[in-house]
Amino acid sequence: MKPLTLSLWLLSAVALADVVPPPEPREAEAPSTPAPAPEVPVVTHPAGIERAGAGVIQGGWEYVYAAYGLGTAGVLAYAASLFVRRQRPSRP
Amino acid sequence: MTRPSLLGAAWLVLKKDWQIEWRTRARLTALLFFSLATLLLFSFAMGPDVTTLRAHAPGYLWLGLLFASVLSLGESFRVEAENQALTGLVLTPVEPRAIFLGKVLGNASLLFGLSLVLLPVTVALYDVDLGRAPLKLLLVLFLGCLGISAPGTVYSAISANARARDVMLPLLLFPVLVPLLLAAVSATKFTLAPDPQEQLGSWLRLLTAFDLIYLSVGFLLFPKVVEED
Amino acid sequence: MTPTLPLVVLALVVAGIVAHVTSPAARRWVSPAVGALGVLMLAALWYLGLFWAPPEQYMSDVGRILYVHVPHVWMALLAFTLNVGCAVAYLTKKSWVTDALAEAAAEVGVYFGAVGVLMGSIWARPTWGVWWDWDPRLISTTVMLLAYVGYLALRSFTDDPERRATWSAAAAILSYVSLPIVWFSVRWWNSLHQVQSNPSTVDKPMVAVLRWGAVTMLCFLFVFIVKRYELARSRQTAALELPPLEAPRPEAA
Repeated sequence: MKPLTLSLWLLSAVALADVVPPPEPREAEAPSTPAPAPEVPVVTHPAGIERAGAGVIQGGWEYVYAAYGLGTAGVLAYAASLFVRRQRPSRP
Repeated sequence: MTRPSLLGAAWLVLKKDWQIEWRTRARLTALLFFSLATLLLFSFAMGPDVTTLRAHAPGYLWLGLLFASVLSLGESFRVEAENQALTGLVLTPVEPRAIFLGKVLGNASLLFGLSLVLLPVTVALYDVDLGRAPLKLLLVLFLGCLGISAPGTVYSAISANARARDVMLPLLLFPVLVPLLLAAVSATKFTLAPDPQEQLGSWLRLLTAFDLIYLSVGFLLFPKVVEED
Repeated sequence: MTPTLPLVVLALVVAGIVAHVTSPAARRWVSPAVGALGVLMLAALWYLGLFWAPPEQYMSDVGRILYVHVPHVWMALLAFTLNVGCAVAYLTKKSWVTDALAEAAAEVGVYFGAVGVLMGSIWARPTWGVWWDWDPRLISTTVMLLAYVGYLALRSFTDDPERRATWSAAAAILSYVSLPIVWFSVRWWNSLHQVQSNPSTVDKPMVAVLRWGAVTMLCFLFVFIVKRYELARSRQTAALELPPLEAPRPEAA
């Protein structure tokens, strides 16, 4: 149990370290994405998607990192809570 | 004395519950004034704008009924928990399902009666027009009250013996009642205001489906819940 | 990476789960192994989801939240399904095992559901411009979550273990039944107001990363449920010296 949790922490720290270099602006890869087909029906949403220029939302990386960070932090936190609540065998 | 049939036994339980309600009229009065106060508070909270109030009146009415239902449902098993009356009821040669049916009908009729009293109040407070489709409105109210009572009876049987039962019942009941609230508010809205797209029918169907589903699930689960070892 | 690679890993994980359930000898090493695999896969998911996968057609880079959000919600649904299965099993035949498993599945499901809903809210902000919306999936997941929080509260507020097991099983079934009704009612309500945007074009790399994320979370789901189950079992043992449930009860039959 203990080595498992330790390795959970360690590997998750490695996983978090993976993020440290902030992503480059990704213009270089942009042409490789398929252009929206012209006959795609217009998506109507009151607060929506069509508001953002050519139908593509620019940026928003902070939200992406928040979501990924939340997922990883959640796994760590829940694993930690299970570890804290574990019951040592009191009687044989 | 012959053993009563399922419906006969349910009728006996229902009569017993009505009798208890009638003998403790003070509780009924308190419930009534509680829901009146709720409706009044909604109108204070939303301000004096009649158009807004009229548009939101179905929501206030159903929220008032929902809050009152938590009190009445909790009461309906609290009286049984006193002196182990529920155990006695379960030990009588009556199917637990009959107790469930009787209790559901008792709670539903109490709520329905309450909603009938609240209707004129909504006219006074929110200036709604009850005359547009009165029979359909009554149908919506009845189906809605039945829908609150069906899962509510099972949950109040559960929570009557738990600790912190006053918090437990709404915590368990409200999430399950979300679709009922949506359907009942929408259906009520279309009986009070014009319904150009004929949407009332689909909401009534949803209400009926909700009632049938929870009546049958409760029918299956209730005996397990009240069985004593 | 192809969309089939995650399926291969999935087969591996499922084989591990089956081994864990069927063979007591495998129990010692299966859950640590699956846990370690999950951590490795999570690290890979960061790379795959953030850099390897192409940006989404409409949502561009924000669409990358899909790869962690959707697996969380799937795992929550899976856990709640396991929970209701255990509830039905308990009501059919009383057993402390299904009761403990139901408790473990419910708590882990609430964890995955809460994280999934939070992620959905984070996602809604840049795409819809609001933190919250009348999306049937969003609402029904949240309602489900509330219902199961009530379920867990009921468990902790009931002292008698046998009554707790029976009542919470009934509450679990009532909550689970409500899920499709909530979904339909919100969709109907919603249809009067707006047409929900629906990303229909999903290309191969996206499917691959989404599956990768799902298998990653399945690893964690499995390990969490196993550990939480062990906790529930040891609490049961501590609370009562396991009275015989199978003892003959003439009047109850």
